[in-house]
Amino acid sequence: MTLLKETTFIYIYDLCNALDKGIKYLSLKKQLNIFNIGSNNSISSYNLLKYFNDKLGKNKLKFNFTGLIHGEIRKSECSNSKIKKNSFGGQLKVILKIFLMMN
Amino acid sequence: MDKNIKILITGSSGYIGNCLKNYLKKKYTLYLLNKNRFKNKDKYIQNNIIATKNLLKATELCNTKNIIFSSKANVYLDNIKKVSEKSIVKPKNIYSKSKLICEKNIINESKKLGFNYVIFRFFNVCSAITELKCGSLHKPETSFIPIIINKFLKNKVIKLYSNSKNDSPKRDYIHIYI
Repeated sequence: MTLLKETTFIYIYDLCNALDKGIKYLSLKKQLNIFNIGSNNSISSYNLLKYFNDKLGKNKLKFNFTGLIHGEIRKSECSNSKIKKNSFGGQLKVILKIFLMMN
Repeated sequence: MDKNIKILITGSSGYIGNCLKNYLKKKYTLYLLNKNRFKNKDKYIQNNIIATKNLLKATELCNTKNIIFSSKANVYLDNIKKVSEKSIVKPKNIYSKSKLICEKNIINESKKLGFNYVIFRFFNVCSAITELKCGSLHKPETSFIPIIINKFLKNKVIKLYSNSKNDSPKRDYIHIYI
């Protein structure tokens, strides 16, 4: 059974904090870099609705499948291992509250 | 706190920009920049590219040493696997294409002008900073979680753009703030 669980990671404090640390990091050393900022997990729209319905009870959210639409991105899931390794020179003591899909 | 550090936030009335402004305002000296929204979407996006180019030119005049650019996960090729920074980029829509063009312009100009840069490719940012009353609001609403809330409050049906639960689109959500 697939469950959706809200969890806390000791990794990224949050997006704003990442930007703040980015400012400090840039002021400390030469840096030319690209980083993904994400949770390392993905959840489907259906499972997200199911999660909310489980929380709300009695299937309060009504939905229907309208078919695939052109241009819709099917999956977007981040690998955040680069920023994890870099962690802005050790400054980034981080916690990110995310929705994590637990299988 | 370091009020000697001066930071220009562009797009400070947008979702991320507004949250960031509230987050940083006690720590640094902030300068905020917003631009008018064009009704024509293509014009708006073209303006994004031109505005970023102009800002890059201005870095030379202002002796700006560091740039942080907010990009999007949508610059990547639609992929069934996790995407790293080395994954193939192939944006599907014009907004994401404009982000990628801006990224390339920053990288090229950095070589010429010598400023540092960090490009963050944000995945699906959700949530709000409740104590600062700061969050996402669009008209019309385009983000999935606010759509769910709005439909729930109005007791309306939510459209899922898939054929079944098995091919429902997947997203990587991150919280803007704790």
